[in-house]
Amino acid sequence: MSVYVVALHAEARPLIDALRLKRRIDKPWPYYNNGEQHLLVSGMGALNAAAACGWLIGRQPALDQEPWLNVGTAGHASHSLGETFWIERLLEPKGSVYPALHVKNNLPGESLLSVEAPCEQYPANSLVDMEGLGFYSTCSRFVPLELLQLIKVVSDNSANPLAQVDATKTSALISNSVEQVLAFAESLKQLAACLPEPVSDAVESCSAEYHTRMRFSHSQLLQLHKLLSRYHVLTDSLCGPADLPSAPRDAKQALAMLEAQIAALPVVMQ
Amino acid sequence: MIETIYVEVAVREHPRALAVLRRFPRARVIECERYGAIFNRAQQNFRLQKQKPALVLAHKAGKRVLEAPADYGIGGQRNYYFSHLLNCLYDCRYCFIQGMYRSANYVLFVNYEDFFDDIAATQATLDQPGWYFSGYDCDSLAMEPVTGFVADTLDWFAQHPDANLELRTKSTQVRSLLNREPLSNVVVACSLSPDPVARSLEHQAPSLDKRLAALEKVARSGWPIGLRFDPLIWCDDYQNVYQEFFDTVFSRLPNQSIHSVSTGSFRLPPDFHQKISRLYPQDQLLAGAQARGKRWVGFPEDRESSLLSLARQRVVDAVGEERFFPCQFEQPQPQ
Repeated sequence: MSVYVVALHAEARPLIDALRLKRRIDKPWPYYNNGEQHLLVSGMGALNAAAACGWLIGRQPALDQEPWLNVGTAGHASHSLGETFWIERLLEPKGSVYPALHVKNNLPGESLLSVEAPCEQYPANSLVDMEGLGFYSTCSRFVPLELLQLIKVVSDNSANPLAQVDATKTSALISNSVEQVLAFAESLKQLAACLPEPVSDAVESCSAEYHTRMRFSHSQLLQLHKLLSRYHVLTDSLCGPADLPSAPRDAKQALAMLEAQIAALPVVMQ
Repeated sequence: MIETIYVEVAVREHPRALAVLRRFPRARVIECERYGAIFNRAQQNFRLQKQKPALVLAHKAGKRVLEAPADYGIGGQRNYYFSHLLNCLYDCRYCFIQGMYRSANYVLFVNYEDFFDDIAATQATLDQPGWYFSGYDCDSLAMEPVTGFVADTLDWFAQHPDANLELRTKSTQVRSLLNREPLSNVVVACSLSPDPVARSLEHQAPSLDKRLAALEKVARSGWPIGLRFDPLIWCDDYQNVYQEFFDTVFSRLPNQSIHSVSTGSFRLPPDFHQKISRLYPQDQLLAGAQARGKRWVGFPEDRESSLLSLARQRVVDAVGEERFFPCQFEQPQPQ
């Protein structure tokens, strides 16, 4: 599973076609998916990128364990049109931010400066776009940095200024790079598979069983959840209220009993 | 295999940085201002980074030689540690490093000479030989082919017999030791665990057999060796597991070469334990650990004391009280 964030429909089209995505939502941001892959058209600029990503994660919190890629076009003083780069450094007024690369990636690296409005004054030694930093700053609050990446395709340069870029050319440029983008996304997907599995539903329902029998404060519920998870890891089974040596009179006693049960469990070398 | 190397601009032309870069000609090299911009960021995932850590070449500024925690030592009164490298090649599930650092990237500080100057300055304040521990935040030898740290450090300690060094390792990279005359003020200490424990918890580290083979070579070539049974890991059938383990260790290593033996229990500060448990929620060791007062998480006291007392008895039988240094419940265990 991966989440692609692009600014424009023209940039999205080649990915939508390659991944056979279906449009699911029109507003506030066009959103496509095919069950496995997700694509969000954020609109131009850092604010749009940030707001769109925040909106999607709010709707689908489980996506915080998946790779997020910002794919789009960018300008550069001298790189050739169509050259594709992995962003190794985001330039910020306070210093640089370095996306964390922990997968194999053959794309050349480049720096990226995100600006507020389209410009034809290309910075020295970096690509220029409008969304990269907004995307990264926002998503880095909920996605592990290792799964958060940007790929930019050069759409304009000193010899081929921004005014000459149109939707057709943009789609063609992205289209030529789709294979590399998808290969990179696949390696990120494999990395994401190293994250721990979410807590089993069985633990959740066992926790609920306790809660229906006695009143737990919020912090006691967190403790209960942790203890039940530990018990589950150590025994591959659950310890419901009926499995305790006697009926606990309140939440505090239930937690103490569970703790004692766990302390007596063997530790097996896996 | 290192595929990404970050280099601080300040050390870009440092001979050691250049040598490391030559060693990885196909690596992606990215310049940065300060290593902290890569190493200290929030929202990094240690577990994910451990799949393919990057290397950061940096300059260590500020305090380079630090006082070791109380009760950490092997006979000396003044104990210090220093870290030319942050993070470890291995992936031991009990290691506090996973809870201490946000990043699993290796940071190599290439200004070794500044470390040596600081050790000399520290030593100048002492009226007795100090002990300097190098394997607290890393494995002293595992990355030797890349760092060349031991070779340079031994040259320095050969010239400063008033200072003692402990190299602590789980690795078999001992060529730099075998190629030179042993130094009486340098102890090569190896962290050892029974095979079932090592296989289960010390991921990517050499097997017990390989570690013992390397340590045996080091001892036979004249180096004082240290045995570090830290952490001791309670498990089902621990008595048989550890009896067999101690039999093996003490029968294979020449007794007269053993400088010191230390033991310690599995222990983590609660915040480290919580962080590591989030990374590895399915791990039995972490799930089985429990609060031991406010400062530590470890095995239940009865389990811990039975294992510590078994270890004490076997160690004292083998090397006597004078070479035995039990590590108290005061600091997390290094690699």
